[in-house]
Parts: sequence; structure tokens; C-alpha cells
Amino acid sequence: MNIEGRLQINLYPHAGSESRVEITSSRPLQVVKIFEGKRPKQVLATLPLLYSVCGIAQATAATRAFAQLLESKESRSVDVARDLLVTAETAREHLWRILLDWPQLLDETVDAQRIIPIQSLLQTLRTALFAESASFCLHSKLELDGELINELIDHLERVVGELVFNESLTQWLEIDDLTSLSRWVAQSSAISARALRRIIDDEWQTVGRCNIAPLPALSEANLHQQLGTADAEHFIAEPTWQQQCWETTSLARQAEHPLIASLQGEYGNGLLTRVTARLVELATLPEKMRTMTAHLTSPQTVAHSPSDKVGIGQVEAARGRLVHRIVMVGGLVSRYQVLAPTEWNFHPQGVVARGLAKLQTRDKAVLQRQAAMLIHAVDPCVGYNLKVH
Amino acid sequence: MCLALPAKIISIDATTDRAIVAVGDVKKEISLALVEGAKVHDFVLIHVGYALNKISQQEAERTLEIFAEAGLSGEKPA
Repeated sequence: MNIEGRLQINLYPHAGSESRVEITSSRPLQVVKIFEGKRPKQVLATLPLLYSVCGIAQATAATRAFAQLLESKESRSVDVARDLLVTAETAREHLWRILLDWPQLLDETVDAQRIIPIQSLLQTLRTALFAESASFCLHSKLELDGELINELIDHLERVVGELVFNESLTQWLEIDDLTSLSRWVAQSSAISARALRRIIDDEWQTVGRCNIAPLPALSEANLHQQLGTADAEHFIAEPTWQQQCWETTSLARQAEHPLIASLQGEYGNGLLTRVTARLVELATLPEKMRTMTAHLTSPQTVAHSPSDKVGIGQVEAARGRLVHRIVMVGGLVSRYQVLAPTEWNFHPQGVVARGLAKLQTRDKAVLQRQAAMLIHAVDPCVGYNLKVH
Repeated sequence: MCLALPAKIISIDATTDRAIVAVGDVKKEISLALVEGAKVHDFVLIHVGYALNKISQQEAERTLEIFAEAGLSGEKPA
């Protein structure tokens, strides 16, 4: 049984030129059709059960789309609170990937006891924002425990510093170019430093380097144009924009950061830049959350433009941009669409396919490891089979 | 589109923190590294080889009903 679907990635090495790469997906993208014919309340009650991975980002995109569609006047502060939860969820996903996957890629043992408290932090934050009331319904109400929210953000900052960097985030974020990063990597024993050191020692900095641009902001009009057509299912399965593939990842979001810009200048979007971008993003999230808390008491309401029975909700989830589009007729959902980041990033000609095609080594075992590291660095939200032929 | 499956814990190997779980009639080995205090007969959501969190039997049954409605599975939890 494989309800959640998988990616099948076939790599056919070709010495001296680009390798051939095939990526196919069995992800059940049409599962959202079960929402059709249902009322918004039913959808919002069912959605968290269906999408429990990145469930906060999914629920946020859905409530945004419904709020727009129904032109409900939702307070800005509720929207900020949900963004705060999405940001915490992003931190959790990054931590899980770093603490679970990286030791395996380094042939080290996972220390499970260090990972467990991260999940409960997210639950406590939800309670600190909404108490016992529903956080993802059409009229959610905040019941803020400001002191607890601040304590949780401080705690997250400490946990990330201790588990990932072996130092405070403020200190680590002083690293702003390749030279200072190299110095830190050589000195530190943190899991993040060990991962970067392995990449540098193996001279894999440019592994997977390819030309692909970060997905630009897509206006709602653009999205309606793409998703409103009869064959939108094809776009959802293999999305392109302006006849091109795009990347939507931590690297796409962190491209302007001085350290990432410095690494891009030297190694392009190769493995070192890509892995470091996840670290930079994780390190900046607690401060980002602190900035967001200032808007939790905003008296403003979110202005929704008239939507002609169609609503769109966009969220920057841990793995990239997530879009929900909902059409309603007579109070019922008549069309529900989800455009997920994995479909952009694992498009048959997308960033992973192009990066894998650039791998050049005759050693099949090395090729397998390079490919696995690149796939993990981009991070699908589903299991995959990789076959090097 | 990231789905997690409800599963019932059949057995636990405390030394490796791994468990055998049942999703309908299908058994899988998963890691319990991300959940605290999981016991045999508990229900958990599993994703890519890990239990993500504990859920109630009612939530497990409701989730499988939703999957069945979506044509993904008609099986009930063990």
C-alpha cells in the first residue's frame, strides 16, 4: 500500500555530457476532489486530517482562500498568528531534516531524544495564540498569552542554537561570506559544520549546480489564469511559468542573504550553497517570529478584493510556495485545487532533474550519494526511489 | 499534498526505538524517534518511515474514511 505516493527518480549517467534524468510521481494530486460539494466548514474540519504533514501551512492556505472567497472581514492579527505558526512549522521541518537526515548522510547515529521536544513546542505555541479555540476556522479568535509566546520563541532560538550550531544564533549569523563560513566549518563540531565540512572535504561544493531561477511572486490574476483552465490538472502536476521551470525552496527564499549571495557567486546553486541556505533560514526564523509578534495586536482587518466566487490562499511553507484555489457555487465548493512546491521542484525538467543531469563521476556509489544529497537538500515531501542505471 | 497515514502500533523494539505498525492489513516498520511515550496499541500518523504524532482511534478511523472517500484506500485500521 502506498497511499501517499512516491517519486521515482531514474538517473542514466552519460560520461562527458549531461546525464539523462527521469522523474515520475505517483502523488495523489486529485485527492482534494473530495472537498467538492462540501461546505467551507466541512472542508476546514477535514483538511487537517488529510494533510497532517505541513498541516499548518495547508490549513493557512485554505482559510486564506475561503476568507477571500467569502469576503469575510478577518482581523490582521489572526492572519499574523497563523503565519507565526507556519514559521514555527518551517523551523520544525528544517530541524527534523537536519537532525534526522543529516546524521544518516554522514553515516552517524540519530539522537532521537534531542528531537522529540520540538513537536510539543509547536502545539504549545498554538495554545499560546488561540487557547482552546479553533485556529483554522472562518472566525478564529485570538486569546494571546504574550509572555508564553515570547518564552517559546526564546526557547526555539536556544534549541536551534544548541542542536544545530553549537552556539547562539546571533553569533552564527555574523558569518556573512565564504571566508568566515570556511573558518567556522573548520573549527566547529556542530552537526551543521560536520555536514558542510563533508561537502567541502569531498569537493562537492558545486554538485548539482544548474541554471534555474527562484519562482517569482505570482499574482492572483496569474494563478487564476493558470488554474482556471479545463486542463489545470496538468499544470498542477508539472507546473511551469512563462514556459520555464522555477525553484521554490529555502535557497530561493534566502538568495538575497549576504552569505548565500557570497556562496552563489563562488559555487552557484550547488550543494554547499543549497545546504547552507537551509541553515541560514533556520537561524533567522526565531527573530522573524519576534518581529511578527509586534503585529499580533493589530486592530486592522485584512482587505479582500472582490473575488467572483473564487478564492486563492498563498503560503510560504517549509518546502516552498503552497497555493490553494477554491471555487464555490451556491455555498458549496465546486472546485478545489492545491499547487504544491514539490511539483515545481521535482518537475521532470525542474531544479532536481537539471542538478542530477549535471553530476559527473564514473563511480556509481559516489553518484548515488551525490544524487541522494541533492534530493535531500531540495527536500520532497514524499518518499522517493532513486535508481542510478 | 503531503499525506500521512494513520497506523496502529503492533510492537515496539525499545532498543532501536522502532515499531511495527499496521495500516489496514499491511504492516510496516517505522521509527518512533519523533513521538514521546508511544505504546503498543496506540495510533500514530506515519510519514516517510517516521511516526509524526499520536492520534486517537477516532481520528485514525475518520482519516481512513477520508482516504477511502478519496479512492485511496477502503481499509479500516487494524
